[in-house]
Amino acid sequence: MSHITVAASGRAFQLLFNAVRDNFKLSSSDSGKFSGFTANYSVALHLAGGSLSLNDDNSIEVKDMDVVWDSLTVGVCFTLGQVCVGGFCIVPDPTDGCLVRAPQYCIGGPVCIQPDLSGQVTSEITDLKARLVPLYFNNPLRKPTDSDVDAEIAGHSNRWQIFIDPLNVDVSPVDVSATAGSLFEKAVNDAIDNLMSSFPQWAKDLIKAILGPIVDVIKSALNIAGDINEFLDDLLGNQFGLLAIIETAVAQYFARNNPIYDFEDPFQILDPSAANNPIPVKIPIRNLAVNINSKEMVVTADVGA
Amino acid sequence: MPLTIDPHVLTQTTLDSGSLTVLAALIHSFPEPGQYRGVATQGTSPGTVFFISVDPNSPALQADVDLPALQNGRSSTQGCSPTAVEPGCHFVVNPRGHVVFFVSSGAGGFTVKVRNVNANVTSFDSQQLKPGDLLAATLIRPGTYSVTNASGGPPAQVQVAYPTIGNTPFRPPDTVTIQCTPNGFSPASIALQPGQGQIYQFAIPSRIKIELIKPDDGPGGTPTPAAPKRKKVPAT
Repeated sequence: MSHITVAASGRAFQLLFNAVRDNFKLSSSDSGKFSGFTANYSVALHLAGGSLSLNDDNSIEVKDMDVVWDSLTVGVCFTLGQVCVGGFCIVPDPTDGCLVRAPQYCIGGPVCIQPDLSGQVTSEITDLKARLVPLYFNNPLRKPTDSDVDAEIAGHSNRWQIFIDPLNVDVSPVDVSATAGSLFEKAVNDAIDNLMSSFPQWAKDLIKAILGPIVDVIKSALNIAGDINEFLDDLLGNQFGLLAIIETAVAQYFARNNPIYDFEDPFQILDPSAANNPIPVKIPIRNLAVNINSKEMVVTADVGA
Repeated sequence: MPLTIDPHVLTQTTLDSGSLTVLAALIHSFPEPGQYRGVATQGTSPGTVFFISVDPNSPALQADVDLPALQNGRSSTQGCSPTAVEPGCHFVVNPRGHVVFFVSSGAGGFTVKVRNVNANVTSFDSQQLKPGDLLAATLIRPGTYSVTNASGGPPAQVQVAYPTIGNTPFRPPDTVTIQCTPNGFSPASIALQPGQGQIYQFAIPSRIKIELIKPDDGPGGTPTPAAPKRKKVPAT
C-alpha cells in the first residue's frame, strides 16, 4: 500500500487541464511552390473550450476543443494569364484553320496577394485521448554537492511532473469561411487594379473585360475546380500540412513540455520554524503513480529514503 | 512588379500603313520565286537591310518580319537567320505564302521597301499598297476614328465601342474586311468592338491612315480632348 494518496476531483482536474490548455500557443509559417503558383502562410493560434471527461480505462478524453486562429495571412503569387489583342486570322486556310495571323500584343505578369484572413478559419480538435504519465525531472542545473535546501534556494530542485500523454489527437479539417473566399477574390481584384494603376481607365476596363470575372481568373490560374474557400481549406490543411502540424504541436505540448501538475522532490511538508525546525522539512517522494477513473485523478506515492 | 505591356500599345491611336506602328501589320505575297532585298526605314535613320528567299520548296506559308527587331539586330527574330555572306536577317517563304511586316513594340514609324534582286524592280512599297496587299489593323482605344486613303476618296468612319465587363471573358468578334476602292471605302461606316480585327483590301494603290478623332471614355469617364486637327498644307 502506498504511503501517500492524493486525489483530484473531476472539477479540480478540469481546472488543471484548463490552465495547461490556455497556455498553448502555436505560431507557424511556411512557403511552397505548387503547380502554377507559389504560396505562403503565417498563422498564430491557441486552444479553447472542449469537453473533458475522465474515463474508467485510466484515460482522459477531450472532445471538440476549439483551435482558435488568432491571425492568419495567406500569400499567393501567380502569373496573370496572357491578355492579348490582335492575333486574328488574316488569311484563312481554305481547308481548315488559318494561313496567316496578325501579330498579337499581350499583357501579363505576376500577381501577388497577401490577404489577412484572421478570424476566417475555424477548426477543432475533435478528440484528444490521453493517459497520465508521471516523469521524474532531474534538474541538470543542480550541482552534485548541492543539498536539497541548496537546490531549492537556487531554484534547481528535481521535480515530479505529471504529463498528459496523448494516445491520439484528431484535428478536424480546416474550415475556411466563404467570406475568406470573398476576401481572397477582392485581394486579387485590388492587386490587378494596382498593377494597372498607370493605365488609362478605358485600358483597365478593356483588360478587365478580357479577363472576365475575377473569380474565374483565380480559378483558372490556380487550377481550382470548386470554391476558393475550399481551395484555401486544402492549401492550408493538406498542402501545407497544417492539420498535421497542429496535431504534432498539441501532442508534444502536452506530452513533453507542459505538465498538468508538478512539484519538487523532496516535497516540503513543513515550513521552517524558528522554534522547532529552522530548516524546512522535506520528504523524498518515490514510486509516483497516477490513475484515472470516471470521478477523479488519484496520485499515489511512497516516501523514499 | 507592374504588368508588362509596351506602352505604345495603349497610346497608339493613329495607324498609318505608310508609317507602320504597333497594332498595324502589312501583308504581302511574293508569287515569284527568287531572292528579295528589303529595307526597313524608321524616320530619318539609315535603313536596315533584310532578305527574303521565296522558295517553292519552303514549307513556310508565313514569314513574320518584326521591323524593330531587324533594326535592333535581334537575330532571334522568328524566321531571321543571318548568314555568313549577308549579315542581315534572311527570311524564307513559299511563293504561295505571305510575309507579314509588323512592329512588335516601340514607337514604330517604319516604311518598308522590297526589291526583287534579279529583276531589280520594287515588289513592295509600304507607302503605296497595291491590290493583293493587306493591311491588318487593331484598334483598342474606344472612340471614333476617321479612315482616309492618301489616294483620295471620301473617308470612312470607325466606331470602337467602350468595353463592357460582363459575366464571361470578352472576346472580339470576327474580323471586318474593308475594301478600298476608287469610290472610297466599303463599308464606309464600321462599328467595332475593341480589339476586333480589321483587314483592308485594295483595289487601287493606297496609303491608309486611321486617326482617333473623338475618344470615348466610357460611362462617367473624363472626356479626353480630341486630337488637334491638322492644318492642310497647300501642295507646292
